[in-house]
Amino acid sequence: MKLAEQHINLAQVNFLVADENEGGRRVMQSILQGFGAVFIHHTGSLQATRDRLMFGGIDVLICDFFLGNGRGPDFVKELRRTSNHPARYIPVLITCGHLTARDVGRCRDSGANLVLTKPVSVQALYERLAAIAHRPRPFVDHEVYAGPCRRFRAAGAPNQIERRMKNKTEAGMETRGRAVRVPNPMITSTGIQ
Amino acid sequence: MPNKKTNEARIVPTRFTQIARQKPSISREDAIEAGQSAVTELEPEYLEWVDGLLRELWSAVDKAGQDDTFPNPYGEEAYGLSNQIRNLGATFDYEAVTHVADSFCELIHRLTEAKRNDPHAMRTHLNALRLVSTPTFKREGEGELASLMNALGQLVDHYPEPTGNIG
Repeated sequence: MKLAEQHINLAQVNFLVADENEGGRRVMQSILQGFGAVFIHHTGSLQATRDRLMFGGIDVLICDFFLGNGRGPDFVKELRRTSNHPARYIPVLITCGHLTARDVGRCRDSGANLVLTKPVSVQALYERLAAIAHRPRPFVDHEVYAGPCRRFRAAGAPNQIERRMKNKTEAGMETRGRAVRVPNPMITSTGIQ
Repeated sequence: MPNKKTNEARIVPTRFTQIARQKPSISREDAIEAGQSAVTELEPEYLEWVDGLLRELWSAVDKAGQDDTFPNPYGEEAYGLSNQIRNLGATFDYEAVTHVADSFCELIHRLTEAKRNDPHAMRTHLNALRLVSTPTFKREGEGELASLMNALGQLVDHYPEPTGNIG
């Protein structure tokens, strides 16, 4: 990690945490407050999230995959493809839990900046926010994809999740006669994290 | 309004990238330490959330088991609840809760794909979840986790892994 990325200032950033689970919202809110964030808004439904973003003033969206019965990625896709939306270009983090391969593909193609796997690690969240702040990527506006350029593996992605997952595998116990299943390895290997 | 199709890539400055780099900023170490501390303070609430989710899960699993057809709405509800429990566990150092709930999610996912119902396997997972979600297991049960996961894994592996499933 570059020296500049050792610091971020979130005191004036307006976050929107969109998660149907109260526990998920509270955890995210507490961590962000620990990072120095003050303006943390939250919504518990897809419609409320849509309305809040349309109102304007949100700088970062943290959107749960399962928002609206698993329509979180579809919502982000809609956001990226609506040309006059006030939040079209804001950084978006998708948080997700247990996923299938198809779900991973939906995250990758949604136009989110980064994906954060749950359970959320404080360190991983910090790394992602720092990466978005210090390494902005070009916004691609194409007929099949709209969102931050997905080709950033060579530039070096925030690698904490990779390290964390590696540690988890190495430190994890043997289950089912093999190492603990590491959730969503494709997310790391494709570079969308 | 759908976006007019274009074909371009450009850096779009956002308010976040501008203000997040401003000083005074909080150092990485301080931010992570404060974030971790904030999570620790939430632990009493976490235990209440899990307790409530487990009650709901108990009801959903009971109803899902009574319905021969699968997937059924209660099975889907159980999947959602199990996922919520999974997603909170390790954040609060309840790693075992995340592992068991992840296994539960995988079981329901495989049952859904196979269109099979298995009330016994679901109840076994539920009982395991109740066991590992206690502070006592968190303190003293780490040595038991491997054998527990092995047993649960056998229940899950009874059903084929859906093609391409990596979750």
